[in-house]
Amino acid sequence: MSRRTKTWVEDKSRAKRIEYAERAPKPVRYTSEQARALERKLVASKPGKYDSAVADMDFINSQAFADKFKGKYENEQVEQAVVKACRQLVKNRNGTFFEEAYFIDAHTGRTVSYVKGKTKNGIEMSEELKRHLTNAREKSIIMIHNHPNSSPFSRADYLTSSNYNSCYEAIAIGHNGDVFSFRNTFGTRGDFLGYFEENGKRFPYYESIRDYRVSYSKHSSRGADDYEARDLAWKEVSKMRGFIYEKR
Amino acid sequence: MRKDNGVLFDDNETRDDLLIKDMTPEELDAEYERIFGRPENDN
Repeated sequence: MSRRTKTWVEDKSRAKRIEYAERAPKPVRYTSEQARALERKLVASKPGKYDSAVADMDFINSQAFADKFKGKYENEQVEQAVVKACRQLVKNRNGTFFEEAYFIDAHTGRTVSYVKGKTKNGIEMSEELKRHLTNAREKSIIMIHNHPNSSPFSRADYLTSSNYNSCYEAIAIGHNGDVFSFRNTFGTRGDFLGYFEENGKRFPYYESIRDYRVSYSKHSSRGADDYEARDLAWKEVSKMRGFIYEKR
Repeated sequence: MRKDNGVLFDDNETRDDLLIKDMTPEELDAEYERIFGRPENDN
């Protein structure tokens, strides 16, 4: 019986790898026009299709988009992780009304968690993730999620970010490339005023949410559209309540 | 029904959800001024 040496085994496995590589389909190089056409086809076939959520991927993949995050974080590693996560979220949900979220460590840029939303324009977190956010160190997590309609923050976004002392920053990335950021929202909600029923939904009402609606209504009555009224209202509420709201 | 304890991102709200409808324009102005002070471009 012949002895099978180590060399014999290695050669055999190398030959197998070469044989497999020769049989495997070769990667196709597309021109940018072909790639765009393919992406459009892919987007059109996604579940949750929503035409006005087709993303401006050219801008989102550009340096001008990455510059919106320049110098905003502890180190370059975190900055790059945030930009990468924003691009990935929009790419994944391009052309649909679904949202998803990345939770990133604000000191290392490591992904702590990733959640896919299963309902229209919303994301629910698991109990485990909520526990993690409750117990994590102060200002150690960056929460990022996409906004298919490219609107500024909702009340629920504010309530989520202000619920956790561990939240360093909450980011909403619009499919048009607009970036909205909340910082230092923990402890800024004001007094709890009770639950509020509207359009069949039950909503916790805090002083900050009341202020937001008052400001939103005031700006709307002066002719601001939904986007402008939300943006102006968050600017005013953040100034009043001492947190940071930024549109980049 | 979805939970409403503030631990989710829910971006389904509409203009209709945010507008305060149970105040007259005068009451809204007074409430705004009480909270934020007089707007800069108001006379």
